[in-house]
Order: sequence, then structure tokens, then C-alpha cells
Amino acid sequence: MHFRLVRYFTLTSMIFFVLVGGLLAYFYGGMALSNMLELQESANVNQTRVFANQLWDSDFAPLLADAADMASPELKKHSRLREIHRRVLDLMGGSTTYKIKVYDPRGRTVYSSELAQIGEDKGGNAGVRGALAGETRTELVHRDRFSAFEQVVEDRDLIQTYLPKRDPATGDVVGVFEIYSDVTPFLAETKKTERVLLTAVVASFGVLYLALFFIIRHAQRIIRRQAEERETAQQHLAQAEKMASLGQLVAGVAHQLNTPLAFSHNNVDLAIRSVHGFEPTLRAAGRHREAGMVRQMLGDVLQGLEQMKELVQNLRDFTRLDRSKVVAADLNATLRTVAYIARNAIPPRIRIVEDYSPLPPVECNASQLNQVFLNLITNGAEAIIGDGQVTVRSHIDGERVCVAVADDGTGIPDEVLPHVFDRYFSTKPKGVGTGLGLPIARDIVRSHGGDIAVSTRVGAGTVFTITLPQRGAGDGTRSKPNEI
Amino acid sequence: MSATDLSMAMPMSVDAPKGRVLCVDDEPNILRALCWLLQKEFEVVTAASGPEALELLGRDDFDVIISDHRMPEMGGVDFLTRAKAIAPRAMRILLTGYSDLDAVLQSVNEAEIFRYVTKPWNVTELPRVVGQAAAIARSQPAFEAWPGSEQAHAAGEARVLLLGDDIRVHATVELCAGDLAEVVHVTNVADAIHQLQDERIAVIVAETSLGSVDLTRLLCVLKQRHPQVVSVVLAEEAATDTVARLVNQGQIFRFLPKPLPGSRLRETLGAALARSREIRQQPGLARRHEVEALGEEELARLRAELEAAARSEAKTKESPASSLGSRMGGFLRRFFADAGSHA
Repeated sequence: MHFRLVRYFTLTSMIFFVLVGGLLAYFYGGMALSNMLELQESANVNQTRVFANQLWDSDFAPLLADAADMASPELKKHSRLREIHRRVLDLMGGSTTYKIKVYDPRGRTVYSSELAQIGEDKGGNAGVRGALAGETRTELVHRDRFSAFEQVVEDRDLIQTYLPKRDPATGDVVGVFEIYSDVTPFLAETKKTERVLLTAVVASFGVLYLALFFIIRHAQRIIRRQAEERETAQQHLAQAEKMASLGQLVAGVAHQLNTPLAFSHNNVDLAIRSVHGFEPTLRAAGRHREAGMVRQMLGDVLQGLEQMKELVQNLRDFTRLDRSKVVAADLNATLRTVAYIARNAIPPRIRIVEDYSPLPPVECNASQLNQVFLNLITNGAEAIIGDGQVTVRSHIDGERVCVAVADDGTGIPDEVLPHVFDRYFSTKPKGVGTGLGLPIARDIVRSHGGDIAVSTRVGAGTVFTITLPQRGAGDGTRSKPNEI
Repeated sequence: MSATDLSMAMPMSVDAPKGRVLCVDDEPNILRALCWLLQKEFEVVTAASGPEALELLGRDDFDVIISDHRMPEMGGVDFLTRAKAIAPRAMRILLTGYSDLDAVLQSVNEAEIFRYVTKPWNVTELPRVVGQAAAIARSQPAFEAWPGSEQAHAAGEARVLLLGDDIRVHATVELCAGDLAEVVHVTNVADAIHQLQDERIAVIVAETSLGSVDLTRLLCVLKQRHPQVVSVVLAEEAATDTVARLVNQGQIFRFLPKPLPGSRLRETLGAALARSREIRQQPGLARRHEVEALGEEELARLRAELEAAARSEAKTKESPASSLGSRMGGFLRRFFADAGSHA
């Protein structure tokens, strides 16, 4: 399973950050608004109190008393209004209050700083009704156009407060004040703070996100590398197990063959000698031709048995199961065995030419190197279309031992060459090549402290050259090759 | 058992048999083949299993025992080890188609075999080896006169020659030898050959290689030249054919794995010294460890290695040591002249 850590992290953290940022902004906005409303309400209440103290008894109370019996059109022309209006404007000048209205207990506008509105019946207005019932109501309203004192303002946020005015003696609501005050700059300030806050939050989350992103990406890389290493190790193990069990099988069969070979060979050999002994008798009896035939027959059997002995011996040497893992081996002997085995594994139209120089013993895991050499020889043979030859050479190069496997086949195209040691890279059809042969070969050679190189010419052939140190790679050869 | 009857049914050779041979194998075909091969020269008795063969050994006297390794009831090495106790005079040959490292190591250390022969055997070679074994067995004293292998450790003149450059091994051997014998430690072949002129050297303890020199071949040549010296080989890694060669051509007494368990080494040294004393008391016993001569190719290889080692030693050391190199060269010439004459 492939876990896309970075992708999942990005998605989740994005969602989380947006959510948290949004919630924070929302709560801040709401809190600022309610704070403002509260503040503004008390400001409006105070303002009203100022009006009430200054104007109620002297102006509004008599106005209300007069208005009780007057129709609306008459009310508009009330003589006191001009005086009241002047005083109101005096009081309101310089404050944030834009408008002030006074209602009588029936909900009729007895005074408005916008004089045109005097006489309007607002009995149905929820704010007015609420205030008549004794509640103070405040709300934020937005007006595109608003007639304030002596001017018309546009695009304003206003706080609208309805306040009941009670009779100090009875406590009854005797009228309602309605006050509008401008909070546009205040609100703009709040919005600005909100934006700054949001920016700060987004920025800090961004920094946090980036930091985490790099940590996570690093972690992801480590995880992926470990997964790859584990996979490599597992493949090696699987391959090694396959080879080991195959080797065990082959070695087992080879050894089992030794017993029948032993007595067959022994008996045929003895039989030939017996026939020799009988020859004079048979000749005397005139049957020397038959004697010769029998001798030849048995001779052929003996030859066949010799061939089988050779094969068994080579199989045994190839698997080398009877040896400890790392020994000082004669690589030429090893190569001869591999060439013998390979001849049976490749088509007869391809010749294997052996050209060995004397080599010192090389400390190695011979059964693993056998696997590498066999792989290179069969690979070489597969690159040959029609007749051709694979040449196996060995020589000493300073302190190192070189083994070269050359074929005169098709060569490796330029676009394939960089990938020949890549895992799972195979030019063979699916199911035929695993793409593991050369990578494993390289791993085995490297674990011996050596290296493998390839040189090729399209149409002329390919040479794989393995160089190995004579003494192995210190600790490397003692531990590593055993694992593969 | 039909195989046993078979040998009786076979026509005996006109000449007096050169020895009595007991063949043990669970495969009747092999027993018949061995019979046909050996009956001309020897009196052959066969057994199809270890227990059956042990019974025969208890009743009769044999000169040579040839046993297969893989047998169902009792393994070949196990059988040969018991046979050693019942019939110590008989020479033991292990004949196997499997190259099993454990088996060959046990055959050295426990069964103390004379030869390790692989199946399929060489039809001319095997009768020769059996003939050699039979001749040796017949030259040995009768059963009663056989010296007990568990003799008191006579603190004597005996010396142990240790050849190797591993300091830890030196320390361990020194510790284990303790009161048993004096240890002479040498780190090069020339010194080893020089020390072997000393008659008191009873046991040689060596590793399988020293620098670039493969000591297994050298041990084979040394055994040929100094048959009275009992050899013990120490090795970390072993291959079946190396051990087989050390048996057939080196007649080593023990093959021990490294790192060394101290107790086992002491036990081994004790046994090796005892064997050496037996051989000194009855020089005829040394014949039991007669070796096959090393082939020409092997000798040439050993010589090349030794010469290369001598050269590199002469190169690395100062003038007094260059005389060591030439001394070594002199040794080599004499050494190989002798080895050649032996072969």
C-alpha cells in the first residue's frame, strides 16, 4: 500500500486551517459587533438621558400633552416645534447622533429631527412597540441614503435605539425616544482589525503549514526510502530463497545420482575387463566380432556414464552447497563450471569461448558469483540473433581480478543502456523477464567489494566486466554475501 | 542377508586374499559392485546396515572397513566411530556420494578415518587404496597389544608447534597447552620447517592459511615428511573438498572450528599428544596415517605460493631479514627435493 503522506497532510491541514481561521474571524467579528452594539446602546441611552433631562420636562412633555388631542397635520405646525428643533440641534451638534425621534404612547411621531416625519404613525413598528412595553432595543442597520440633520448621508452603518421614557412618579411609559447614531467609522475600524487579525492568523498558519510540510515531506522521503530498501531486501531474500531451494534440489539430485552412477560405472568397467578376458575363448569359437561389439557397447555405456559423472560434478560445483559461504576460490574453475552449465542453458548455435589467465584465489561466495556469471552468459546469449559467440575472459588488473563476459549480439540501444541496472526494467515481454537479474548481479558484485560495468555498441555486441578485489571487501564479504 | 551370501557365492581368487574387507551400505547394488570390484584381491564381507556390520565386527576380525555415509538406521560416521572402539586395528574408509561438510568433519574428528572416498569411485584407485589400508592393518600388532589411547599425561619433552598469525589463537593454545606441553609459536613457513627439525615437536597446530599461503597443502607435505607429527587444523571456514584433502593427503588428527572453545582445544591437544606418544612407542602406528602424495600441480602451486611469500617477506624486511628470505629459499629447495623424492 502506498500512503501519500504529503497529499493527505496538505488536504487535512488546509481544511483545518481554513476552518479554524474562518471560525476565529467569525467569532471575533461577532464579538466585536456585540461589544459595539452594547457600547453604542449605552451611548445612545446616555444621549437620550441628556435629551430627556434637558428637553423632556421643558419641551417634550408639553408637546406630548398637546399632541394628545391634535391630528397629525396640525401637529406638524405646532408652534413649539421650531423651538424644540433648534434646541435639539444644539444638543446634537458635534455628537455621532444623526437623528432623534419622539413617539407618544400610541406610537405616533410627535417629534423627529427630520421634520417631515412628524405625525407619522409608527404604532406597528416592532421597536416602538417594544419600547412602549418597556424594553430598550438596539440594532445595527445599514442605510444607503439617510437624512441626517441638515444633510443627507450615504452608505452608512447606523445604530438604532428605541428607549422608553417613563414617568418618574408612576413608572408608566409616557413616550419613546428613537435615536440613530453613526457607527460607520467604528465598524470600518472593526473590519480593519478583523482583516489584520485574519491576515495574522493566515500568515502564522501558513508558516506553521510550511514548517510541517517540510517536516512531513522529509518524513515521507524517509518512509519511502525505507519502504524501497525493505522491498529490495525482500526481493533479494525471495530470489536467494529461490536460488537456494533450486540449488538444494539440484545438489540433492546430483548427489542421488552418485550412487547409481557408482555401481553402474564400476560394473560396466568390470564387465569390459571380463569381456577382455573372454576374448581368446570367443575368438577361438569364431565369435570375435560379437566380442568386439559387446566391448564397444559397454565402452559406449562407460562413456555415457563418464559424461553423467561430469555433469553431476559440475552441478555440484555450481551449487557449492557443501562449502561454507565465503572461501578463497579459484575463479577460473568456477567459470569453467558455469560455462559447462550455461552450454546446456543456451541454444547450440551460440558458442561459449573461454579465455582464462591464471588468477590468484579470490575470497568470495562462489555460489553467488556463479549465479552472476550464469546470468551474464545467458543474457549475452539472448542478445544474439542467429549464430554467435559469448566470450568469457578472466585476467588480473593490478590488485583486482576481472571477469568479462562479451557477446557479439545486437548491443544495447542508447535509450536502454542507462536503465540496465534498474530494478524491474526489462526489455523482455512481461512474465519472461523479471528485470531483477542485473540489479541483483550488481548487488552481489558490490557486496563482494567489486563493481560491474557495461560497454556496448549497437550491432557489435556488449561486454559486461566484473572487477573483484582478491581479498574481498573486509567485513563485507564475510557478512553481506551470506544474506543474499 | 543376500548381500552377505553373495560374497560367499562369488568365486574366490586363486591367490591368497590380501585382507579381509567389510563393506557396509544400505544399497545392495553398491555392495554387489564393491564385491565384484574387490573380490579378486580381498576377502569381502558385506553388511546392509551399521548394526549388522557391528555384529560382524564383534565376531570376526577385519583389516579394512568401507562404509557408506547415508544409511537409515545408523549413519556411516556413527558406525565407523563405534567400529573404531570394537576393531581398532581395522582401517576405516568412508565412501559417500554426498559431500556433506558435517559428515566429513565428524569423520575426521570422531571416526578418525583413513580415507574419504567419493562415489562414484575410481575403479582402479579404490582397490589400490583398500590394498594399502589392508597392508597397513596387517602390519599392526594384534588387538591385545593395542596401546590404550587414554594414557596418563606424562609431562615430557613433547612440544606443540603453532603455525599462524592470529594472536588470540596463540593465547588460547598457550593457555590450553599449559602443563601438557611447551608451545612453540611461529608465524612463517620457514620457521615452521626449521622447528620441525626438532625431534621433540609432537603436535603441529595450524590454520588453513597464512597470508597468501594455503597451509592445507603444506600440511600435506609436512605429514609426508614427518609422519610422527600429529596435526590439528583450525579454521573459520571449510569446504568439503579441502577437509577431504586434509584427510586423504594430510591425515590430520583433528579439524577444529574457530573461534576455539578452550575446553575442546585442551582435550584435543591432550589426545593429539597421546597419539603422538603412541606413535613414538610403536613406530609402526605411524603407518596408519600414511598419506596420498600431493599431485604435481598442487605441489607446484604450493611452491609458487611459498616463494611469493618469501619474496614479499624479503621485500618488507631490512637486511637481516633478507637473509631470512634467502634462508627460506634454501629451505624450500631442500624441502621440495625431499618431498619430490617421497612422492
